[in-house]
Amino acid sequence: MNQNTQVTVFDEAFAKYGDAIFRFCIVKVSNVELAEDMTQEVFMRYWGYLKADKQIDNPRALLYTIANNLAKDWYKKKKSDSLDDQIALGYDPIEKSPGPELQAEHQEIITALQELEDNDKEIMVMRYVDGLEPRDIAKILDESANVISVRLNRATKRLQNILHI
Amino acid sequence: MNPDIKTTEYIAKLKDVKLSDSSRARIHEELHQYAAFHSVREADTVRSIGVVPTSTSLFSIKFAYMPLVILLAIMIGGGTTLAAQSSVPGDVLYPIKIGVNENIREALAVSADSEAKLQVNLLDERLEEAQKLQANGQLTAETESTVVAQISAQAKRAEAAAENSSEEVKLETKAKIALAIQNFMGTTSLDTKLAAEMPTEVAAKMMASDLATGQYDINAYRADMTARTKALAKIITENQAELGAKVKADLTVKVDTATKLTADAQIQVEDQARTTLDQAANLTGEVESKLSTLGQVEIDSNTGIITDIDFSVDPMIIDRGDGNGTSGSSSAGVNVNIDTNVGGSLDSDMIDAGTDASVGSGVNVGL
Repeated sequence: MNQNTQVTVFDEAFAKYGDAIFRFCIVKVSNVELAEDMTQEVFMRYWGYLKADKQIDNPRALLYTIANNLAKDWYKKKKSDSLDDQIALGYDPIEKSPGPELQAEHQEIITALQELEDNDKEIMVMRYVDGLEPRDIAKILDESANVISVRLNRATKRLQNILHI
Repeated sequence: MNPDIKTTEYIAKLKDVKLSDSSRARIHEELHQYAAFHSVREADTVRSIGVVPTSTSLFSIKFAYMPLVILLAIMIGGGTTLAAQSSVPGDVLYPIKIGVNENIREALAVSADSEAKLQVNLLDERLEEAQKLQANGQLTAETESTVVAQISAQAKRAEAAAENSSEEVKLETKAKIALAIQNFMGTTSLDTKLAAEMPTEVAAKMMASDLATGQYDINAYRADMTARTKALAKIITENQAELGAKVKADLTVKVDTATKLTADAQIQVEDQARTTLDQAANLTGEVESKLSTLGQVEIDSNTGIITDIDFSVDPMIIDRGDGNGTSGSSSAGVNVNIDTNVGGSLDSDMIDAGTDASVGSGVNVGL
């Protein structure tokens, strides 16, 4: 396996899935800079797979899996910190989001998503923003497709309550 | 509207949340660096079927292995390599300096221009090492041949690197090589040996970057230098008893080098020949001024060439016209140059003259 071909694969993956991973991260950590760093870290780990020439059937699934694992680590570290700290750390995706008229809405949606359980918010994004099928999500999160469907349903209802839809 | 759909559509708006252009560019750049640093190891990975390896140019291999080389250097230890940097031939750490430090520097010099600059710097270092050895009295017959071989090999590398570099760097590099060699000449006992070993193109292609204007005809210059070096060689041979072994050896080396340069200049094109002759003139100038401190020199009023020397006459009362004859261009050489240095060394030379034949024999006279 050759460096140049792998870098090309790497570039393609970043171009294709960079934003999706970033969205996943921002819903997880609610902070633009942190989410950017996490996105970068996800791709670095992904490069580890490319470098080792491991068989990758589904790059997108792998990227999400890595991101999910990273997020878990991040939450472990975060646990000791208070909720106040977390909020103070910058609940502020507005700053770097595109288009001023969208920013407030983005923030509102992300704020609403934070009301959901930790494991639910990202499956909502994976399902309804990035269009993954429940069974794909199940694979990434190491759950059964059934569980994911149930959780998606539950989270949707819950969000409706929050948004008073 | 179905509230479920409404909810999911609401969330779907997050699709517009994207990495900003600047962040995307930054991350992309950092990822590329990361990928280059943690590069695919070509040799020990098993190729999966269907993957055709694209051609790997030398250039990309150099890039790919750079991190490995750097890593190796760090593992071997920054301290050792740092200490090795000041070592000279014969030291324990010298092989590390040559084999590790300089290979790293070469790996880091990727472009042809930086390569050329590096090779000149390395040449400077080789020359400095030789001077260090000379100063410490470590220049034995054994180290001598190594040093000479290294310097000439490095000069060849520098010359080759200059050839490969861009046009402006090429000129600059060649000028630097010429200057380095020129400054080195006369500082150690290696001149004669070195002159013989040096790639002729180094001598030949030395840059005529700061040629003074208004020089006289190149052929006259060639002839003049030939006559001067011959005359000096003759004087030295004839008066070796009076000169003493050490002084004689020193002067012989310089004259021999000047003779060699002059010979080279005969077949060089004008600009190159001029530079070569300037160097020869510097050397003969040194010899002439040295001679003129030792005794009364007789100068041919037409050519400005020293024809004889009388050691019985106190040199302090010599009356020597400057700038007579044609040698206006032969730089400081012809001028009587009685500085304290020459005077100081003269004293000890005169005292030693009769007794230090053994010291003198250690120096390669090369007659």
